Amino acid sequence: MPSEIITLQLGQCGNQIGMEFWRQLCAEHGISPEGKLESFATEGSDRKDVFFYQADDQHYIPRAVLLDLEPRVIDGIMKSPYKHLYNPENVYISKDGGGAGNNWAQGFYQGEKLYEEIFDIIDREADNGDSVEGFVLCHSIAGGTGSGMGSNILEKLNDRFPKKLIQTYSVFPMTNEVADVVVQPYNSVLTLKRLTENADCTVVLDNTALNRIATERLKKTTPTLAELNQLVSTIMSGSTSTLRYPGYMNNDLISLISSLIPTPRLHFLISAYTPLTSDNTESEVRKTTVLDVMRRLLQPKNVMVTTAARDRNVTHCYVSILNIIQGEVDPSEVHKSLMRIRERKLADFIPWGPASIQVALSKKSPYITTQHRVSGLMLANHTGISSLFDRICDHYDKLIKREAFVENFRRLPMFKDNLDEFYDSREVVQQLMDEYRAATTKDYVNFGNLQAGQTEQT
Amino acid sequence: MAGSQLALIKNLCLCYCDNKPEILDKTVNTVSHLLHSEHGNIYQDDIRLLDKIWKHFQKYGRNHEMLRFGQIYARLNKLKVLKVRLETLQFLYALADTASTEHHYDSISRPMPTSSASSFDIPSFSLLSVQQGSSNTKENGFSHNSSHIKSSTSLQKLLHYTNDDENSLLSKTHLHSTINNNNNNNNNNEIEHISSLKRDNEESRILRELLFGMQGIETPRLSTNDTNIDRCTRSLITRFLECGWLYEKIRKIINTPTTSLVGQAFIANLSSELREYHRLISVIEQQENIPGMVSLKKLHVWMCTPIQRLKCLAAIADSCQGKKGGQLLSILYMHSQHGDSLQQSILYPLLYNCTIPIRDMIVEWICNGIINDPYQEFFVSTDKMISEEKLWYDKYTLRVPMIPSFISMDQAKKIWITGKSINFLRVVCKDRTMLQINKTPASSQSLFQQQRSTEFQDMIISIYNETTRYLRSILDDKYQMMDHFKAIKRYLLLGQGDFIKYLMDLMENELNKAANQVFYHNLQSLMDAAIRVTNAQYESEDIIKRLDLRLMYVSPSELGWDVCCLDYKFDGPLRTIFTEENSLRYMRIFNHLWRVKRMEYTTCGVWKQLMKSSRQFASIPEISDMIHVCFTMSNEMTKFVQGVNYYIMFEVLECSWSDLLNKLMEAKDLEQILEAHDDSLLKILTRLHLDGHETSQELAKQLRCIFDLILNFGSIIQRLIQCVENELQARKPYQQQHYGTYTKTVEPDAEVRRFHTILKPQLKTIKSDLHIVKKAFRDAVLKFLQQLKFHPDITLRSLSFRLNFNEFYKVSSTSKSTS
Repeated sequence: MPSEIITLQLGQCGNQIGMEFWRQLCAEHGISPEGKLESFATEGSDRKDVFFYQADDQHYIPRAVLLDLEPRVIDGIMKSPYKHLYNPENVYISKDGGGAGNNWAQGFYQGEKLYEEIFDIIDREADNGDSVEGFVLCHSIAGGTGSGMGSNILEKLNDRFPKKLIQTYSVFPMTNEVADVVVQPYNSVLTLKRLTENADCTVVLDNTALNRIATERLKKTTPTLAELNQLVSTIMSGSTSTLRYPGYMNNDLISLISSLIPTPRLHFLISAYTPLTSDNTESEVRKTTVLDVMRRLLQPKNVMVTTAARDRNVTHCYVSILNIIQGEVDPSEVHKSLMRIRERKLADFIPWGPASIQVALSKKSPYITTQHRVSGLMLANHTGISSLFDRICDHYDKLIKREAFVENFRRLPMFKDNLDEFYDSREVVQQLMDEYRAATTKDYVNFGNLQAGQTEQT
Repeated sequence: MAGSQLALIKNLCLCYCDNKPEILDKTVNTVSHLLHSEHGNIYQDDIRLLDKIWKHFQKYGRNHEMLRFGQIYARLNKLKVLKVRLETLQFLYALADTASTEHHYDSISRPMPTSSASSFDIPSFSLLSVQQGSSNTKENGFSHNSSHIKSSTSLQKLLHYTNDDENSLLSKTHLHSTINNNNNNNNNNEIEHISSLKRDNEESRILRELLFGMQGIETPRLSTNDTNIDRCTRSLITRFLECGWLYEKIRKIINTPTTSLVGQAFIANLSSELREYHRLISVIEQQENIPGMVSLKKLHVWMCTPIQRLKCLAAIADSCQGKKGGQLLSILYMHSQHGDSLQQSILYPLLYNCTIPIRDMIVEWICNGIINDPYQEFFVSTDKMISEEKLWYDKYTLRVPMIPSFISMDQAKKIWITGKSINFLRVVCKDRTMLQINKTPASSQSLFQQQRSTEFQDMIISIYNETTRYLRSILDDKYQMMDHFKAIKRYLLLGQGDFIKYLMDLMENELNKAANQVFYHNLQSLMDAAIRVTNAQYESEDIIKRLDLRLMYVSPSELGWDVCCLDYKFDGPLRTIFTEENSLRYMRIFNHLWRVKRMEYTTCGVWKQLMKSSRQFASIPEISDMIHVCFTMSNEMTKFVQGVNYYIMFEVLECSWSDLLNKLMEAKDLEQILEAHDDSLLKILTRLHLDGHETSQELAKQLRCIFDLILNFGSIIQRLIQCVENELQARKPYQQQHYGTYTKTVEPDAEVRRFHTILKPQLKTIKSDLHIVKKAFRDAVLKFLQQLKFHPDITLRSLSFRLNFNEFYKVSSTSKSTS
């Protein structure tokens, strides 16, 4: 089966959301926690092979690699009903077991050391498929393992598989309150550089927004980690649904993201999902037409990233939008909805190139019943994402000015001599933000000249 | 007749005649004659009439009124005020009958006559009997206004016919003759007296001659120019001779040989009418022997209706000459739609008998699918030369002129389709099941009196429903029609995206070759490989077996991409739905979709190459502006192709598919299925601007031009990437030396020289090529959008909405015009 996708789960957060993702996929494809096809799963129009492969005894094994530097989360998975789902050879916990101590540099260094072992697993997994299309990396950018080791793996993946797409689902830390990890801004900026340079597509999952949505939409005062992870897995399964249910369009990752990402660096996507319900609360069932779904997806309160519509005299806009609508839809509704959205100017678009709301239809899993006729997922490229980076940089700048908490970094080879890597990363993030701001104006078509001019000056 | 009554009449007549005795005798004679003429009094007693009235009530389901009527009648009987009870009842019944006939559109409903007898009666003295009735009522102190009398006049005629089945002609004429004899005896004195006065030898001679003349036999001795005969008599003679002429005319028509079943029925009917006429003549002849019984004037009165009848028949026969089958029926029906009840009564049996052959053909056709039509009269014709595959389309055609005008087009089509379905089942589906249709054939009159009875319509509908339902179940269950429709959507319309994607992956190299170097067997094995690894493998074996490839017409300039098409093989009854013509349409659609898919594939490929090379590009800062242009162009092209693709998916494929599904669900017969399928195909073709419309052709041309530019862009990007790779390769020694890891020394001057002599010129040409493509692409898209605006199909216009959602192109075009 062509166009397989290999999932890499890194660190505490990565493994947790990965776990939820597989749980969701198993439910949607009618695969039991042991990997057996359920007896009711007879409707065979779905493609299980993108994310699973079949063992000799026909049971399904996820194309997943679970990596961590400390055993806690993976041990948890191995005690769950899903323990027999994964290929045990693909589960790797550092023998040292000490973790990365929320230190990016530690994670990066460990990743360097464990390179051979990790890439043995990844290579084997890549050889397993007919033609692997790409990798999906789940991690958080704030901690140590997901950010540090993740950064290292991103760099290595690019060298080792120069033709494969690399997509990441990156959880961004809370920025509106005191962080539980003090060096979080350092970790974030250092990881952002790798995401900018080595990933082809990053789906940004902003913990701040996830918490807000969980509180508002699901009516929870303090959402649990599991509930947040559930939100993330909904996004992940939704955004891969067109790959798993073949149709006229969007049957591979590249066709899905190529129209969303115009230039190499502008690849940070925001996502939104509607309708959101939690398992235990009986939510009000609303009318869900295509127009309703599309309109709600454009509302900031449903977007899983907290972005500013305006900052520093810049009016932000959409570079591109892809809506994946699942469920029973009258295809003629789509055109009408698009007309309405344009009439009402519900979305602003870039002025320097063609842009539109692309709507893809996808089948809903027949094995999961929902109260809603239609559900929708939005993946969008919005210049407002720069405000998120801006907030991270603010925190970072405050810390780096005092060179606070850098000792732990200096202990490791990369920062032994100097803190250049910090400044370099900060510069990359700055360029990224500048590019996003530039993309709001017509002059973006000449951005290349501008860059060339800058490099010549320096 | 009692003497007192006679005296009373005499007195009355005396008043009437203003005491002029010279005409008194005559008047009294007439009046007494009138009074004793019992013609029109068909009902001898009121029991039979009452029975009729009950039946009438029951027929219209008015049981309540029936009861009430019974009570009222009983009371009336007891009172004994009403002496003319029978007549009153008769009158009321007649009224009721007119009311009910007026209610319906068509004015006559009569049970089928046992024979066409009674058409030529000794004329009814209906007018006279009414006068008698009215005089009776006058006597009884009742007054009727004239309108009542008038209506009853026509009613009595009606009544006269209603009872035809009860009184056969013979008994009736017999009755009349006896009545006349009785009259004769009763009024012996008066009538004998008057007639003996009038009649002389001359008249009886004329009468005898006339009786021959009326049978179309030459009567040289009878001349209208004979001056011995007075003018009045002459005109009467002319009238009677017209009878003869009409008779002769009809007889001639009867004698013309006919090659038509309906025609034969028609002629048989005409002959029996003539037979009746003969009978009338013979009765008159008999009467003639009794002296004083027949006079010219009497004959004139008697012949009044028969002459009309003959005229009518002759006119009909004339207009029907040379016609056959449904045409003949249409003419008869046209004549029957007439206000004159006489004409209606003449045509009813005619229509009845002539419809029988057609009715039988219809029944045979819709029940057994057999056309038993030796003279080409049926409105469905068959062509024995047509092959099985074309059976549904061409074997049976509807002969529109042969559809009787009382059968609606809708009914005719249903009949046509029912029989076709049976033949389709038998011949194409090889299904010999006899449908158990328990339906007695509809009566003949229900065909041409459809306002009155739904029997015929019911028969057609029920057999149609049964047959088409069975055919549909065969198509659905035995031949899995819906599965094939779905398979077509998945494969020919690229719905099975993973398969299509992989097929393209595998075939790319092969299809890049020139069309005449692409071989079926190579592609075939690639397709099999694609089926094996994608979800197509879970498809039912039947569908996989049908999947095939077809290489279209090869012209030297074409590439493999242009000629290779997926095909889906059909056999048996499915060939009727998916005809060769439809297969070709599907191929055109596939070819277009495949082309657009290829563009998507190309733009995605370019995007990926650019993305994956971006780090290499970054190491040569001199080209960063060019690279940025490449990215924005790639983005523009990607958006364009995606826009076209999304349009195709929603506005073209999904919309027409959901439409088709709905229609297929509703479709009852194969014709509707074919229609739905045809509609949907045409819709797709139009919306893909493949319909051959002038604007569409221009659009297709323009789109091809845009696609060529995209391919062109792709090859430029290839060159660029190659160039950058070479450059980086060439730089390696220098850079390694720079970092001190390489031993071989490279002069910095040489490095700069290389840069200027090799890389720069290459980049320059690439840059100018890019610029050309960029400009051309913008212009082409603008032109395309302009053309879309003027396309007659509204859906195609929505494509421009999609492609230019943020109105980027309009903006750039205005800014260009201002600059």
